[in-house]
Amino acid sequence: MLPKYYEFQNPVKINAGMDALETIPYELKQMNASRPIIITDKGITNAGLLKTVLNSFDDSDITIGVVFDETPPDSSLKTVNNIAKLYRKHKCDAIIALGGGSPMDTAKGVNILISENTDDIRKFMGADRLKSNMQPFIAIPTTSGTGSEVTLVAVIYDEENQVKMPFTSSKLLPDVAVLDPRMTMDLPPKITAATGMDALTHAIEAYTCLQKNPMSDAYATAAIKLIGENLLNVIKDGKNKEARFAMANASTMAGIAFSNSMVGAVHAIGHACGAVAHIHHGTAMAILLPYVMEFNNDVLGDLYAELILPLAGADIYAATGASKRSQKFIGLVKSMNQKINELCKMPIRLSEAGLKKEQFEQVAETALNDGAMLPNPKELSKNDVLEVLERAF
Amino acid sequence: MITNYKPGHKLIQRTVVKTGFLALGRAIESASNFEENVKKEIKDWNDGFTFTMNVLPYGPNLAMRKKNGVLKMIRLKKNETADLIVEIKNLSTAFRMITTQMGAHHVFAQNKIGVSGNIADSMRFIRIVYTVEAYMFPKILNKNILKKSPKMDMKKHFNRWHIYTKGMILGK
Repeated sequence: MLPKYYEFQNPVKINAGMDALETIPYELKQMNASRPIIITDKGITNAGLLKTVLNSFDDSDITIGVVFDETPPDSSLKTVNNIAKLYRKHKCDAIIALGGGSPMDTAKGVNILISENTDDIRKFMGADRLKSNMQPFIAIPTTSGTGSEVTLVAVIYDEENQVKMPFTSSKLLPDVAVLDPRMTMDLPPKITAATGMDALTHAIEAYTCLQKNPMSDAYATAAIKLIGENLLNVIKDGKNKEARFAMANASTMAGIAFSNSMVGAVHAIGHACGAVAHIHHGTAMAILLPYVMEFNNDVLGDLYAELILPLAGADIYAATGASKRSQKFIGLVKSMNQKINELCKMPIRLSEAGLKKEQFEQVAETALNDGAMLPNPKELSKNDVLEVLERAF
Repeated sequence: MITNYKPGHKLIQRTVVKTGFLALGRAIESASNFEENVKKEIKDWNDGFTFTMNVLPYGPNLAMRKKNGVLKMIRLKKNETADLIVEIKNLSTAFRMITTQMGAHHVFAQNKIGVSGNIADSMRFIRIVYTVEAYMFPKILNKNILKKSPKMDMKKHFNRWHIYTKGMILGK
């Protein structure tokens, strides 16, 4: 059934595949930029990915104004302010984000400071507060999971007031997302698994939450198909270029889907697990996904049933009776988790991931105040969250 | 050829929304005095915490402030800002909301609301609106605007009666 009304936007140009990095100088020139800042983190530098990116500029007329590779794991206000100073000092005219969610969010924060010509990003917290034209912005993801290269959200941590500040605006969308298989080739199996399950959660929640629409459905189902076909292969063999590239595409498509249709209770509870017990986001998604689906099943069963087709193919869909399909789909996700656990020891219970029973109350209260609760089609009370946590423990 | 077309006014919708905001504001004021869930939601807000729900671009608006532990409707002064600003993008959407054709979650889902402020505060605000709407409207209408209608026991029936009488008239 089509929604009565929906909005969909994805203006990000996607340069994907072999030698995609080498297209960046041309894209910068198209945007009248020639002196970008690169925002990344130490892990990327140490993994040699920064060097690969810098080498891709050889024989171009671009000068890298400055490289900042000290982005912390959670993008912070202090870091954003420091990078903006560097940007101005080195007379940069474009932003390149290289990394996972944190460098991407940090780069979006820097873009707000520079483009709005301000020194206080807090004035722009919330939805649709940005009015100025933004700086040219290119995103190079190094994991296949967050989808940040195509999302309009940034979350920056305000250390002083100890709050996570959300910024939502279509102006935060990068101009270009560069998906180059070289960037994810050396990801360890556990991170590959967790980020892949994050992408699967994005796609499933995008397909089932209140903001779902025919455009986001198309991206979500295409992403689920690629994940179903490639995630286990890429965990088994990280050097499988084709599977790596498929996962990069899946992650970006899932990102486009959820950027337009939002995510739901898996994310709300997962964010809370991250905030309270520092559980890795992708791992929390993988663990919680089947249990939240079980909770939602009486409302969303028909939609889960449809997703057998992209995840497992026509044969399994046809071999499963109509009344059993939603349970079968949840079972398929559980069995994926089980196989991943056998391959790379990614935790599949919250207890294994580090959550303690005495933290349940705090997780439940934090989850109820997370914005992702709102688009979840079924209302969750505190007791409902506690029950999900108990089942996933 | 049409030039310099000046849009007209939706006077009926504006009047309905204005009246609806007044009723909702009074009901929230009243509920903040005695309703357990509303009291729990506002517990963490400091006295002086202000939220406003505005219809873009010209209003109407509903502004409320926590004072002496309860919520009070206020009129914001020019250039005075709020801790939480909820902006409904057009009058038609506000009309649908106030006439129970759409719930707050649908309005968010359709991207017809902008929020400025802390996400946790906006979730508290929405839960307050849900709680109060459950008293304001009968179950048949609540189905359109709430994900889950609460069970109405004797205490809740009494609360509803209180909101309809003292609450909406006096805000007590």
